[in-house]
Amino acid sequence: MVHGRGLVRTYRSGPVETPVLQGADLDIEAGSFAVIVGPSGSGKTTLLNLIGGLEPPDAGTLQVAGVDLGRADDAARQAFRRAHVGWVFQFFHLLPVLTAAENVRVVLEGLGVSKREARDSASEMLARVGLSGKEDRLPGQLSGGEQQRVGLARALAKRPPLLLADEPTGSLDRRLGEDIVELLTALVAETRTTVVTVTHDPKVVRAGTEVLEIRDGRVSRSSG
Amino acid sequence: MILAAVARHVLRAPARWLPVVLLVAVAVAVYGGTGGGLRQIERSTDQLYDELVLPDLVFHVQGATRQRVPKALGDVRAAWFFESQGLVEASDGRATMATVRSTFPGRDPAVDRPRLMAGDPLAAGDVDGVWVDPRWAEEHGVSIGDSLHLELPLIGGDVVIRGLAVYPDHLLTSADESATMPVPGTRAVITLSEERLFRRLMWRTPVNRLAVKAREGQDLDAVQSNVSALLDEAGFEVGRVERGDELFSVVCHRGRITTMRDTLPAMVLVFQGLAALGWFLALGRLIEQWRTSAGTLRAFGIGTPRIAVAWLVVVAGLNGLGALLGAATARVLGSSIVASYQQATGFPLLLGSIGWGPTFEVLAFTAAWVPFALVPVLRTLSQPTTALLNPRASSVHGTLPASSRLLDPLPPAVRLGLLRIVRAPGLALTTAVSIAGTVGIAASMWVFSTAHRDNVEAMLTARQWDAVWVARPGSDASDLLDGHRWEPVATANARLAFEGRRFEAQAVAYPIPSTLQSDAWMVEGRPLGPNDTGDVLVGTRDRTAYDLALGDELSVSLGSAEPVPLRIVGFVNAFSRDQIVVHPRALDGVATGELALVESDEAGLDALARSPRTGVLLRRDDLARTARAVTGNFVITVRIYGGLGAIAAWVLLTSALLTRLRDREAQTAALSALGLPAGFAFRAALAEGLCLALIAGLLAIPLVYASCTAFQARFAEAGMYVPLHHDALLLTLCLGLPLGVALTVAPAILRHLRRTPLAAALSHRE
Ligand SMILES: Nc1ncnc2c1ncn2[C@@H]1O[C@H](COP(=O)(O)OP(=O)(O)OP(=O)(O)O)[C@@H](O)[C@H]1O
Ligand SMILES: [Mg+2]
Repeated sequence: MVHGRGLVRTYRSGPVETPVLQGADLDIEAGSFAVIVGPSGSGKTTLLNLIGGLEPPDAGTLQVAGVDLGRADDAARQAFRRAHVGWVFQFFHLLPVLTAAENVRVVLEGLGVSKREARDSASEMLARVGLSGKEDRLPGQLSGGEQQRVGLARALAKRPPLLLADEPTGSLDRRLGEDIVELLTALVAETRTTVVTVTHDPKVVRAGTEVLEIRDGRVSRSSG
Repeated sequence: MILAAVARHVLRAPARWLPVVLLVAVAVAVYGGTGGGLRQIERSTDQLYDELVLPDLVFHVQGATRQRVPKALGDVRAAWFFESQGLVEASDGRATMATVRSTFPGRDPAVDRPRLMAGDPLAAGDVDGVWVDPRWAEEHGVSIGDSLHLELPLIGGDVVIRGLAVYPDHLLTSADESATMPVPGTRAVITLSEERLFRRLMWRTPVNRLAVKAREGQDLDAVQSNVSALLDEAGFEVGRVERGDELFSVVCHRGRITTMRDTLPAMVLVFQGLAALGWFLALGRLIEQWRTSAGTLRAFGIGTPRIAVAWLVVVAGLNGLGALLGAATARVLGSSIVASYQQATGFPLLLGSIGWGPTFEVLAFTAAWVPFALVPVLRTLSQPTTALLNPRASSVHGTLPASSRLLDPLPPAVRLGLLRIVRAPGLALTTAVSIAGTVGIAASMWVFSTAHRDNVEAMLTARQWDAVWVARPGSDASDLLDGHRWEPVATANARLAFEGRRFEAQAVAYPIPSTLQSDAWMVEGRPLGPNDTGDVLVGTRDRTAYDLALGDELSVSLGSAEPVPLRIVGFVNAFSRDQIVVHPRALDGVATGELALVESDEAGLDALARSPRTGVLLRRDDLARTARAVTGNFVITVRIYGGLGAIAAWVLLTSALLTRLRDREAQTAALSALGLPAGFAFRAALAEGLCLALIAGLLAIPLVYASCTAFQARFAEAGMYVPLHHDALLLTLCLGLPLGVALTVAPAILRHLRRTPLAAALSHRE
C-alpha cells in the first residue's frame, strides 16, 4: 500500500533549516494497522502528511496505493486524496455549524455522491460508530468522544482504502480513547481498510499490527 | 516586553488590524476633510457676515409712488441702498439683465457692505465708476477698466468698471441655492458711486425693494399689522419699528438662514457613529484573537492590568496610524471641497488654505475612542485563565432552525455557506448591520443627490422653449420674432393671501393651450383650460412653503386690481419661489413686460440675440448650466460622503469575510484533506459572503428610504420639493453595492485558500 524510499523533508523558515526526515524508508502492506511512534518533534505528523498527500517530499520516492506522490502536483495529490484517503484528526476539525449527519454528508456530496445516497451512507456510518439518535446534534452539543466518532464516520463514509489518523485519541480521556480504538479496529477489520496512525497512546500501539518508529529522521520497524 | 510581544502578535494578522486602522482613517477623513473644508467656507462667510452685516430685512415694495419715497427713507437709518433691475450691455454689444444697486450718498453702509476683492474704491467725484460682481465679470468676459452701458431710466449711460466686489448676501450657503449663490448669468450686482447717484438720480429712481409703504388709499396701520403677522410667521423677532407718514421700516432679526450647514454636520455625526461601530466590531475580533496569549501571560503570573495596558497601548497605536492616514486624506478632501465650492460660486475664500487645525482636533477625537476599547479588553480579560487557555467554546448552540430543510436542495457548498449564517445569526447580524449602515449612507447620499439633480433637470427639460426673449423697453420689436415659433408671456406682480397669510408672487400667463410649455411641467393637478379664468397653478415650492393643497382658494390681487379668489387646480415645477400661473385674461390691462418664449434653432437665436432691439435672450442652455452649476456643488459634496460610505462598507465586509475565513482554516483544510476540491471551500465562502451582503442590502433599504424622506423634509422646509422616484436606483445601490463588494473579495478569498498550507492549518486548534 505504502512504499517510501529515501524520503527527505526539511522545513525552512527564513535562514533556519529544520531537517525532519532524512532518507526514511518504509513499507506498509495493504490491510495492516500501522502505528507510527517516536519522540515529540521527530517527524511523525510530517511523515503522515506525506503519506496522505498533503505535502510532497523534498526528495525520495513515495508510492501510495499505486500513485507516485513524489512527482504529483497539487491537483494530482488532491485527486489522490479524494480517491484513496480518509483522515481523522486529533482536534476533530468538524464544521461547527453542521450537525453530525451533515458533517458526514457534506464530504460525500462534495465528492459528487448523490444526496439520497449521501444521506443513507451518513446515517449508516453514524449508526456504526454508535451515534444513532444523535445525528441531528451540532458538534457543540456532543462530547469530545462523540465528536471524534463523527470524525471517524466522516473519514470512513467515503470508504477509503487508506485511513490516516494523527493522534486520534490525543484529546480524549482514557476511557473514550479506548472506545475509539476498539471502534477503529472493528471497522477496519470489517472494511479491510489500511490504517496508518500516529500516536503516543500505548492502547493504540497495542492494537497495531505494525509499529514504525521514527528516530533521527529515519524509520525503523520496531517489534509490535 | 509584553508590549513588544502583543505588537508582534497583532502585526502578524493584517486582516484583523487593518480594518481597525482603515475605519479610523475613514472617520477621520470625513470629519477632518468635510469638517475642515466646510468650516473653511463657513468661516469665510461668517467673517463677511460680521464685517458687512446682512440686511435684517428686505421688503419688496409694490407700486410705491416714486416721488417722495427716497426723502422719507432718508429718515430711516437702516436703509442705505436700493436696487433696480435693468439692462447692462458690455462693449461687445451683448446685453444682460442685472441688478443695479445704488447707495445713499454720504451714508456709511451699515449693512450689506460690499467687499472690494480687486481694483479701486469708488472715489469722490468719480461719476462713471462702478463695481461689479467678480463672477458676473468672468461670465461676461469683462474686467477692470472695461466700460459698460447701463440701460436704466435716469441713471443710465456709460460706466467704467473700477473694481470687483462681492456681497455677503450672495455667499451664504443655503438649501435654497438659487436664492443665495451668485448664479452665473442670471444676476449681477453693480455698485455705482455715490456721485453718480447723487448727480444723475436726483432721488427719482423707481424703488424695487427697500422698506414698506402703504398703497394709496390703504391704511398704514393695516399694512403694518399685516407685515407684523408676516414677520411673526416667518420667525422674525421684531425690534425697532420706525414710522413716517406713509412709510414705516422694521428692524428685526432672524438667526442665520438655516442652511445645509445644519444637515451636513448631522451626516458627519451619523457617519462617525457607524465608523465607530465598525471599529468596535473589528476591535472585538482583534482582541478575541489575543485571548490564548493572554491566558499564557497570566499563567506565567503577569497581572491583568499590565496586559490590559499593553493592549490599550497597541490599540492607541493602531488608532494613531489610522488617524494619520485619515488626516492626510482629509486634507485632500477638504481642499477639493473648497475648490468645488469656489468653482461653483466664484467666491474667493478669505482665510487662505486649510490649516492643520482640524487635523489635530481629529487626532484628539480619535484618541477619545481608545477608552471604548476597554470594553472588549475587559470582557476578554475578566474570564478565568483556564477559560482563556481553552479554545473558544463553539458559538453554535441550541435547537436547529427548520430552515435547514429549505436549504437541502441547494448544492452542498452553497448550503454550507448559508448554514454558517443561519446557524450563527448573532455574529452575522452584527456584521450585516454595520455594513447596512455604511451602505445605507452611501446609497441614500447617492439616491438623494440624484433625485435633486433629476428634479432640476426635469424642471429644465419640461420646458419646450429654447429661449426667453425680452425686448428692449420702448422698442417695438415683435416683428423680430417673425420666422420663429413663439408665444407671448405676460407677467404681473401679484399679492396673495391664504388663510390669513400674505405673500407676493410673480404672476405669469401663457397662451392656452400652450404649445411651448409641456404638460410634463405639471407636478400635480391639471393645466389651465380655455375657460379656467378662476383657476391658478402654483409652484411646488410655494406649496411646501405655505402648505397649500389642490382646491385651496387664494385671494389674488394682480397689479393694483382688487383681490379676486382663484382656486388652485395644479402645482408646477418652478425654480424660484413665488411664481403663479394665471389665465391670460386675468392679466388683461395689468400685465407688464414684453416677454416671449421662443423655439428656434441655434443660428436663429444668435441672430435674434444680436439685434439692437433685443434686451435679453436667456437660453435654455444657460438656465441648464446655471442650475447644474448650483446643484453640482451639492451633488459633489454629498457623493464624496457616499463614496466614503462605500469604502467603509468595503472595509467592513472584506475584513469580516477574511476574518471568518481565517477562523475556519482548520475545518476547511480538513475537508481538503478528505479530497474535496479547493473550489468547494471557495464556493461556500462566496455563498456566505453574498448572503451576508444580501442581508446587509435588505437591511439598508428601509434605512435609505427613511433617510431620503428625512432629506426631502429638510429640503421642503427650505422651500424645495424634491420628488423621490428612484426606487430602481435605491434597490440597485442597496443590493448591488454590498453584493459587488462581496464579489470583489472573491479573488482575496481564492488567494487565501490557495496560500494556506494544509498541514499547517490542520495543526491549529480552533
Ligand atoms: N511548517 C513547519 N515549519 C517549520 N518547522 C516545522 C513545520 N512543521 C513541523 N516543523 C518542525 O518539524 C519537526 C517535526 O514536526 P512534526 O509535527 O512532524 O513532529 P511530530 O513527530 O508529529 O511531533 P508531535 O509528537 O509533537 O506531534 C518539528 O521539529 C517541528 O518543529
Ligand atoms: Mg504530531
